[in-house]
Amino acid sequence: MALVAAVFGLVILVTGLPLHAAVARFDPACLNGSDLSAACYQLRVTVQDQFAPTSAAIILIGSVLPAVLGIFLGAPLVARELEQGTYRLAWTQSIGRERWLVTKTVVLVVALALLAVTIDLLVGWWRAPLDTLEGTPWAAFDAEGVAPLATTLLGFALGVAAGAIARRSIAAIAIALATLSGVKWMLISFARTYLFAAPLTTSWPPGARPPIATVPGWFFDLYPVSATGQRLSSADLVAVVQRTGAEDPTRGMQLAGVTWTQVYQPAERYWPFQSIEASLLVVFAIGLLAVATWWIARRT
Amino acid sequence: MTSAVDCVGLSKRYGRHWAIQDCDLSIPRGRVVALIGPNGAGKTTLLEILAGLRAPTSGDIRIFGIPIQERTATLPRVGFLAQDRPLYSSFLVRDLLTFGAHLNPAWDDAFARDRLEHLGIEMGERLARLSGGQQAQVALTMTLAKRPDLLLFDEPLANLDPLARRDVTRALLDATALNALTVVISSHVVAELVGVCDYIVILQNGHVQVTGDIDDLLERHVALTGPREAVDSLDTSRLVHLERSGDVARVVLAGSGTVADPRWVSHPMSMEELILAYLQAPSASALPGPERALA
Repeated sequence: MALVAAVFGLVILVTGLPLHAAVARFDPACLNGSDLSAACYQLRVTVQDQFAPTSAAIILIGSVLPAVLGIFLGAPLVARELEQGTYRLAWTQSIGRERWLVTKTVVLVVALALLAVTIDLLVGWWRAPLDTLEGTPWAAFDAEGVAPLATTLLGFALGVAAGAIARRSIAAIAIALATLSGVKWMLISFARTYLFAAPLTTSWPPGARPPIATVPGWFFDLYPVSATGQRLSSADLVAVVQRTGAEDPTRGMQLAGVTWTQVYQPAERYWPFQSIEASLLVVFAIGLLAVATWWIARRT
Repeated sequence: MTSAVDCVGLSKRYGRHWAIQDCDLSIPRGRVVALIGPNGAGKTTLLEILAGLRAPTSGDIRIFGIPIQERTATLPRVGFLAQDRPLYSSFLVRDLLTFGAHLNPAWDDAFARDRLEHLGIEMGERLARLSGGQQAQVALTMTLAKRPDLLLFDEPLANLDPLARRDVTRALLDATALNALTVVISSHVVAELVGVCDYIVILQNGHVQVTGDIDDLLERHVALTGPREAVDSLDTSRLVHLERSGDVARVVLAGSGTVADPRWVSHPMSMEELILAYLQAPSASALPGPERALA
């Protein structure tokens, strides 16, 4: 595992130094968002576009790698003993099978935590300039902060529980991967956006500057609203604009009384949401480990 | 004094198959017990239940008076060497000793190291690279080093070459000589347990057929040789096993009294002969009288 951390560290360093160098040349005013000129805007967009693919890859690795490693460590913990018959050695030692499981779990969780924290900090360093430019680290929610640490623990716990119940390492890995993916999907697609706290909305007329242009946050839904207050689909919008007879789409929307509505979570909710998500995942993980312990205790 | 092992009505069922049925067993302390029976008789199941690996379907089982369900109390007192001697093959020898030290409060590390050094087994050797006999010795050391009071060995000599078998048998003999240990060794090969054990339990088809001190059992049986024709004069209620070869018949009878017919000549019976007689007569049994209630 040390090797994994070292390789990742190298990748981070090699790809991150150019990013840090590029952003270091920025004016402080442009960096903190108070400069609203076109020149600054151009500068920011250039840097973001240039490093977007690498950023996506780094975030993906940072969010997936520790959790998957957690699953691969947790799944064979009980399952392998059962598959290889060594449970007949482990479970007849004096401290008993429950304490055996706890001991083994603690050792592995400590090692896993060290790796997860290292990767988390490396991603944090890499993303720092972009997080500053974007005004919030929300884009890397799954790879920075405490969420990825909790996800890693959950991956491990899912592996252990699935392994104890399914008694096969491979099956346990598959079950744990599927479950963790499901949990992640729920978090990303609606928990963080709608569940933890109701999102905010803001509206503005077409052609005007969005009031939240300099307000940092997580912007995830943008849609046109008709003059009567109804949400319009793309097809509806095209029809409405055509009916006004205007050549310019923006002019057409203004004539039709269409406004833009943005749904978002403000940046100050980043840490509260990180805490909520981490707490939920950790509680789930502890519950799973308790289930695994209970399961092997009653196994005859 | 409480027995090392006390079972009343022990039964174990897997699905619809009864591996052990209604077994009563009482093993006194300090005995070296031969647990004998054909394959599938239930020996491994019995030992695994005593070792705390499996829960019985029904029955009252106690180890030194402690109910088997109280695993925290019984596990430190029982040393179990499972069939095929499971080990972590990727471990080094010293890793396995560390494993033992962490999981057993009463672990005697000095004893373990001395014993392995004496056997010429290096601490830095990978377990997978050791010979079968060496692995058996390592597994045996693991069992002994936790300082148990009851040792359970499930077919410890299986799959060993003759030299290794001799070495492990010798090691078992040495282990049994250690004071106050109660030892149970299971096997389906009778010969290898002769000379090591002083108590017998015979299992057949999940039922206990014979239990008792060897000396006691030998005193309570006679072995006779005589001509084939004399078979009719025998008291069939005493007959355990009858074997005819050519003109000669050999019988084992329960009860120490001799037979009136002078054609029958008694000869000293060995433990092996007694065991073989019972193994070939599954419906016969030699069990102690009505059992006193468990204290």
